[in-house]
Amino acid sequence: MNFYLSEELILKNETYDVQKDLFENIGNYLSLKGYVKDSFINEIQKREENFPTGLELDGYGVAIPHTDPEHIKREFLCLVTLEKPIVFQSMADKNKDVLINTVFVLGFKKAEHQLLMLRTLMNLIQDKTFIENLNSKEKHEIIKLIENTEENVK
Amino acid sequence: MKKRVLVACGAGIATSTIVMDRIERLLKREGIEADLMQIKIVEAKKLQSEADILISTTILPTTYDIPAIVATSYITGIGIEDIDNQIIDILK
Repeated sequence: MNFYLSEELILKNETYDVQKDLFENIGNYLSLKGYVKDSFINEIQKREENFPTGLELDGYGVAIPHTDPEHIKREFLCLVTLEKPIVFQSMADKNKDVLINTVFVLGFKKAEHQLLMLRTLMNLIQDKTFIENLNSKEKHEIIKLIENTEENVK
Repeated sequence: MKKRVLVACGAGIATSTIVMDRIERLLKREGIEADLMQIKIVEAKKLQSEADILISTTILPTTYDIPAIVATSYITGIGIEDIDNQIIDILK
């Protein structure tokens, strides 16, 4: 059972002009819901600046921003889909821009949870159909899909 | 001689974990004996003297004396074989 994913952690069709707005808004939301400490917003922005997480796949872009466990209160996976893509930098190359439409914010404290979730995400982000259809799927369907994938990679 | 592999990401806990897993299986398959060490990329500079290769999922903030590979392919699934081969070439 995927206890760190719930409907309140799936934010669909969000609109942001720049990455900073996304981090501030999502960070505030996660803080309000008790998932992260106030320090999280600054830390995740700083981390993304130094170690960007934009991933360019086959015709689409996914980012997996995250930061150190000490800024996390309760473990979570937060999925944000964007109405219009925003620019992130590439995980492999700071000077390369990647247009991102799907963001998975990771908030983990325990290494084994993190590993399982990352394995799950690796499968999911490489599945073009899954990523491209996120916006039209119901939240409970998305959760089900992620849970099923997690069961498969276990 | 047993090789020493540094596996790095920004925090030393997230993407490096997935790559650790992947490299462990790759080296086992290739019969390469190695110690893997999961680190934060900022630690790489001081640890490189004891290692044969640095494999990072994140950008390399500086240059190193040992071969350094950015292995985001393991996360995107694009170009995996190429990275596998580069790593094997260096460690064999």
